[in-house]
Amino acid sequence: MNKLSFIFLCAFLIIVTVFAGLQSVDISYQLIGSLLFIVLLGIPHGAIDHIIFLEDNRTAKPIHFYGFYFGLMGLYVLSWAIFPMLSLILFLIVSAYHFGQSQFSDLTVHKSFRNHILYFVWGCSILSGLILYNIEDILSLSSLSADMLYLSALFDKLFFSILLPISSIVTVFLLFVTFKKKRISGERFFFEIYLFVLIHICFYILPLIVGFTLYFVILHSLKVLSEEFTYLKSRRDNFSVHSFMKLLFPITLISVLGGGIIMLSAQSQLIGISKGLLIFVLISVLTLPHSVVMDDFYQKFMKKAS
Amino acid sequence: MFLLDALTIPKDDPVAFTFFTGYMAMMAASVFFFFERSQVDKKWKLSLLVSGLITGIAAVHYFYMRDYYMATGENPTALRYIDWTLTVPLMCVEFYLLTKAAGAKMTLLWKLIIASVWMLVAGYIGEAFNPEGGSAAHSVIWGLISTLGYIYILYTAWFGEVANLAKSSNNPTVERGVRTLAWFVLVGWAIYPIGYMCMPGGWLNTGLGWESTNVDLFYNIADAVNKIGFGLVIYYIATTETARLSTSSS
Repeated sequence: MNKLSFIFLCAFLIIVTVFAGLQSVDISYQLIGSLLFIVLLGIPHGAIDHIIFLEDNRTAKPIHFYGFYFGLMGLYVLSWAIFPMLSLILFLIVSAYHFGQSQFSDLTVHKSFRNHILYFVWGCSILSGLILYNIEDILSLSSLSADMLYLSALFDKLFFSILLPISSIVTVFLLFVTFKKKRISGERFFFEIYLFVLIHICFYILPLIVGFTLYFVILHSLKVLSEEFTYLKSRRDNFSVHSFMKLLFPITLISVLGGGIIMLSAQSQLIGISKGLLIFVLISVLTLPHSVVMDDFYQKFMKKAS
Repeated sequence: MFLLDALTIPKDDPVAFTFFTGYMAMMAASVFFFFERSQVDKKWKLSLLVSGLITGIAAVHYFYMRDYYMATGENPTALRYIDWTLTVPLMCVEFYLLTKAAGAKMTLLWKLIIASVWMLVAGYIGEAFNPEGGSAAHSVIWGLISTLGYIYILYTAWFGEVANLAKSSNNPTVERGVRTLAWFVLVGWAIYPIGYMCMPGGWLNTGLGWESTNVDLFYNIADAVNKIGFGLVIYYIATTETARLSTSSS
């Protein structure tokens, strides 16, 4: 067990105990609490994509990187406008792969197609669990606006009832194969199974937003931040936590302010889509290029670490 | 309880079945550890004695819990907690004994004992002194307090003093053994908060309708696995180290 998993377990135990006493927490408080943690830790983990990418790619020109990054974002926004359902599916697929790759980032050093499948099925399992365990809440939230109601057709209970067990079984199988191939130790194998089950329990027991925030902030964002810090520390002299926070701050601030302005525009009907859909679009538009950058980062980082 | 009464165990009552098997398994494990004590190096005799005491104390309590359950059909909460209050600190003592050679101090022993007693006393107050009908607030407060003790033990075994001492022992058998015991604390002991949350007022009770009778079976199996398993890990370390010492001296 690593320290982040320990923090996740402690946070889970405490939150579950507190929720037991509160019975239910108003969704607005859940959103405020989750938003706070996402702003503090979730957004920053993607705030230095440009630094991470350009750090080891000396031949790459910044203009090319920004052109690629923003170009991809622009294309995805267009895709949402023309093919919203396909865009949502793409978002879920990319997120599943990205979460899985982040979980098994140390395996990136081994070039194996099996690893890519593992990343994807692991992410599929936890996301389908999150959706299935909270499907009533998801359908209820999406019924609040016409554009979300259209997309809610994707959240089919039967489909996720099938996807969840299949992806979970394949995940366990691939983990076992990875262990047999000696890519991970026996202890690591049992630990990953334990964590896998714990994440599912977390998504099952806790409300949708709280459960997901707990996973996203601790197991995903903090892990990535820790890896980014370690990477930059190995490449820069006198690189401290303070230096790291200074790097994170500008884009984090821009993202928070920009996101706030866009949400206010939606609120005042300046943008003709609902707030719920806008949140999906904003997050997905950031996720796609971020996932590409992180894929490149893991290749570099894990190669150096090995 | 006499043999005649034991013959009336219902065939479809797995809880009664596991009370009987749990009691016998713990007693058998105690006999095994006490006898095997003579086969290990003197350095490890105390550890095996403690393992035998853990399963022996549990066997006696399971004997009484078996009778209580057969007579009333209810969860023997008080007896369980009495058992745990004695055996769980003893399990923590094992961590100290394993790392003593690497420099573990008496303060570590006391810290672990206090944390385990804290965890169990708070849990008992939360379960046994819950107002009639079950109060969620009471359950939550004492559950939180108890969880702090559990988190401390978990941290110490995985990242804190116990883990660091095991690493600095330069003994792979001890290191592996301590890590295995840490896994018991992480996975094996997780059944107990689940049972707590099934009590009236607990989250699994109010939220999902689970009752304590749902987990009696799991408590019995978990107790047997945790206590006997714990002892077997100690036994493995003791015999491996004894063999190593006799090989190096000959």
